[in-house]
Amino acid sequence: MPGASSPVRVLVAEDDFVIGLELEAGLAEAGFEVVGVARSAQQALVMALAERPALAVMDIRLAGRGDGVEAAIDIYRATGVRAIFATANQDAEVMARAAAARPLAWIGKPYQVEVLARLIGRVLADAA
Amino acid sequence: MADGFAASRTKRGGGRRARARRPGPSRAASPVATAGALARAPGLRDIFDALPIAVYTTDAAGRITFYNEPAAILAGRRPTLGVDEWCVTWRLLRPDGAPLPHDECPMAIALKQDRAVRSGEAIALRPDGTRTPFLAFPTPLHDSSGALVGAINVLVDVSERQAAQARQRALFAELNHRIKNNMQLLHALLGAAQRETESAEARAAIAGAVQRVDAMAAAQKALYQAGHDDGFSAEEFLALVCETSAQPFGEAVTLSCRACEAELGNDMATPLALILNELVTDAARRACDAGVRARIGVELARGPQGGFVLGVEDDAPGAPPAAQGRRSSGLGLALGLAAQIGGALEVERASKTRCVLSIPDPGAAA
Repeated sequence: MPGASSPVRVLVAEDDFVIGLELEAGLAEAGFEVVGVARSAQQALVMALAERPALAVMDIRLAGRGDGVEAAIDIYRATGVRAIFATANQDAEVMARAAAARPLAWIGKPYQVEVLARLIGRVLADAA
Repeated sequence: MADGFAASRTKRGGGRRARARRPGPSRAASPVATAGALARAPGLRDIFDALPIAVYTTDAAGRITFYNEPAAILAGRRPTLGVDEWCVTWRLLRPDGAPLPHDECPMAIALKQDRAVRSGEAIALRPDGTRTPFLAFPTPLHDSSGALVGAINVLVDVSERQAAQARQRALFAELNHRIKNNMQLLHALLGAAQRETESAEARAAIAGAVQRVDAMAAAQKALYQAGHDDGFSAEEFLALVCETSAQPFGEAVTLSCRACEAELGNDMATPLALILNELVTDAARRACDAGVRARIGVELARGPQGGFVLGVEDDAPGAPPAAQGRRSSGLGLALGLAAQIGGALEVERASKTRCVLSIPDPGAAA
């Protein structure tokens, strides 16, 4: 179990390599530990089960079958880990579907990693 | 037969209405009492069935008196003549999918109000559960005295057109998604370059470029939210762009945005976002350099001679923005873009720094 001073552990689901790289580096710079960057819904669930992060940053469109919404719901049901959705299509239908994952927050693409980092800090403080 | 048909058209074309000359109660049935009788005439029936369009008629009380084959296909059933009322369809839905009672359908309106209805929109629900959106064109029919004797309706299947519209919407959403994703990618590529360089100067220059890309992205978001093809609401736009520009500075900046009701032309979005970004960034940077917090007020108001005035005011210390020979960043960029949109930018420094951008009238700029 991580101690109080351990960095907050974050799972990232993002199928774009460069964006994933940037998230990993940017979040690490902001003091988080990225436990993994999943490219697919399936991979995200596997990583969440293995790593039990504090939260997941989920892109909606992912590689392969299933999307970020389905993955977030599965992850929430299996582990109780909730997600921040980072997406370019924040429409009503997607938001309604995502409600079952009890999203922590939404951030619209394109966004700055620093903004995401602050958002993570804020939602974790609120949840505490 | 053909003569009779022509005669009925002439009468209808005469446009005499029941309202204009209310007939006596029991008048002898006219030879064209209903178009249904006509349509059932041998030969004409084949012609109506051969039409690639659904046609049916009713009597004055709305009872179906005739329908052609395409009408039966559209309805997915065979209505009972003289019994079924108002419409050949099994069930009707409004365009939003809510149930539409038959006695409120376009044909019912045409008969009850004795007026032609054009492009009445509805969805036919067939007994097998399938749906077809259509447009209805019911027209009341009158006898020679002007009395309402029934109506004829034409139903136009618009499912293909609606499917095309849905495809277009999906394409638009997809395109917009790709633009945003590509901007995120651009942001990530610049971010990676920033991290990999050893040079502080290069890092700062890239950070500025990231900021400008983000401001453009915010403008794109505002345009998409507006969803109009020619203009956008200034209020949402200002809030989104200013927030994006101020975000990297976190709590060093308190932002307030106000805008009069204004619709700005789409061409204005990107230059305006970039100008705002330079001004907001400059103020925030002065505050950060001095280690203080700054309040930045952005306000869009109508100009004294038409057009708009965009004021960006801040209480951050330090020298106000000045053109330093650079034209692709800072005030140099803002001045160039202001000229591009046909406006002018002035910087005033009193107790606060105030930048005023005059924006020409959107109509004049177009």
